[in-house]
Amino acid sequence: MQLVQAESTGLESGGSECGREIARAGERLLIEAVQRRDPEAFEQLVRLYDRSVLRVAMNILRSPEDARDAYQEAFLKVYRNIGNFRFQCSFHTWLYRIATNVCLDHIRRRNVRKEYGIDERGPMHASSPLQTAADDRPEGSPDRTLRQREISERICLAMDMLSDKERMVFELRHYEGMRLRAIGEALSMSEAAAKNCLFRATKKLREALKDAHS
Amino acid sequence: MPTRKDRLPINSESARRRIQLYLYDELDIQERLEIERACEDDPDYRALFEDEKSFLTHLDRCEPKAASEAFLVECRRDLMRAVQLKEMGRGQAPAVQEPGGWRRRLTAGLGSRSFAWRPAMTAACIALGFMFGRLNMVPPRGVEQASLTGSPSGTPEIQSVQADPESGQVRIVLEERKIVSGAANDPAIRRLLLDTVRASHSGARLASLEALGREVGRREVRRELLRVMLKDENLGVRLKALDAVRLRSDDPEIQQALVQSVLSDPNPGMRVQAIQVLTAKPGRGLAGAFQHIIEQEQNPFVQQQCEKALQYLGASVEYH
Repeated sequence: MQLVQAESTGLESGGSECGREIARAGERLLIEAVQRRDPEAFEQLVRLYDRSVLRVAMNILRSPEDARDAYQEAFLKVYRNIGNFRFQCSFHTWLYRIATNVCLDHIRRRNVRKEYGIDERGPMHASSPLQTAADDRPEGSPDRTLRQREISERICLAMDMLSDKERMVFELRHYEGMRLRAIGEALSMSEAAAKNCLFRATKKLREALKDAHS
Repeated sequence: MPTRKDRLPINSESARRRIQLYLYDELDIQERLEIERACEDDPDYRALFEDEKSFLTHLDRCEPKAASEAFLVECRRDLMRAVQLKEMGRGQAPAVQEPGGWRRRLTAGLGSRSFAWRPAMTAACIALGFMFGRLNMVPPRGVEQASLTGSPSGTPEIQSVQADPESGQVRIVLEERKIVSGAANDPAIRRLLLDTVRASHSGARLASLEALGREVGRREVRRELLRVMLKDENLGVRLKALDAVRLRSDDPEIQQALVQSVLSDPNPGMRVQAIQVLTAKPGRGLAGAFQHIIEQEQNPFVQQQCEKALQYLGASVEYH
């Protein structure tokens, strides 16, 4: 999460204004190439965002298989509809709007299946190592790793207590660093509603993790 | 300076809410200043601020489960394949039509309320799953498979089994390996090799490039080799791609890419190799390109190689 602090240098969010301008211009060229149906440009555009889209999908849907489906469905929707993208909002917001809607659809379908007693998704912790194994991360002592894992598991369990919308808003704000206004746009809700959702989510998490945090 | 009376009751939800919005950088400058002032003036407020900050930082300790690189690569590969299929007009990608939809519709239609159906449904689903897995191994229509000799290497490996004793539902995740062999000029093999070059680890990329080298005459292969030569993060892989296009270095598209490589590759060794390949079959305008490279190049050895190349081409070096 990018916490803003008084001593902030203003560089945490990815470099100078000039650098961001260049990145934006590069992204625009890439999008225009995809609009001309250039598959290489599409692959490059996917590579820019797909890690975080997959991560969001995994954390919202809490099932790697559903996340894989949502990932593909979201990017195929992007590919199909990018011709209609008019640069009126950032591509990032547009993509997340699609991805979160796809995730919501999955949740709705899943709820319908649950209603009829069918729930195929496996729990997140039962996913295959291929799907969630960490890659070459520096490891600390075994004790520390174990403690870290325990804390992570507790937070994951606490996240299960959130409603789908709360989890989505929290995920997008806290871990993806999206602005609440953009989250509101993506989830078709007002900024104030997104704020309320975020606050409810952190309140529930605080209560669930009271002893762990203290 | 605000008096104690003016301050927000520090245990109130609204104080926490404002602090949280401050920490998430969602307040305007006026509101931010108010919070900072409150923190300076009131130790209790400061403590609440620190508590909130530490709580949000604590949540960072649960970096949400990130997808592993291998899983990401797999998803990416599936996506690109679906896009390719779409472009080739072979129909919709399966994921768009609700992934696993056939299975869900089947189970929703039959197994929901009738308990007696469940064991039979489970057995049928497993059998269908095996069958579907087999069918899925067949390459898409239009990809020639006559020359492919493929065989599963043993029985499928079971990755996990989840059974719900209450409902009788079972979920089995199978991983099946398949060995495929064929000529490098077989379109299906070529497609696999191109997929590997785009999405695998550097060892597999190297081996695939080596196999693709003989197919450099084909436009799709040449374009991929040039992309790898210019963009792959691994120097060994870039060199292998360079090596693969060497035989066709008189092709203008390849020459252009080689010049681009000399101008932009971060590794001087790679730049020198590209100069040597360019010099072997010099094209028109190459002297001008070398002249331009000399002006841009910072590395004295690479500069010297360029000068040599110019001498070889019978051109003089001009310093500006």
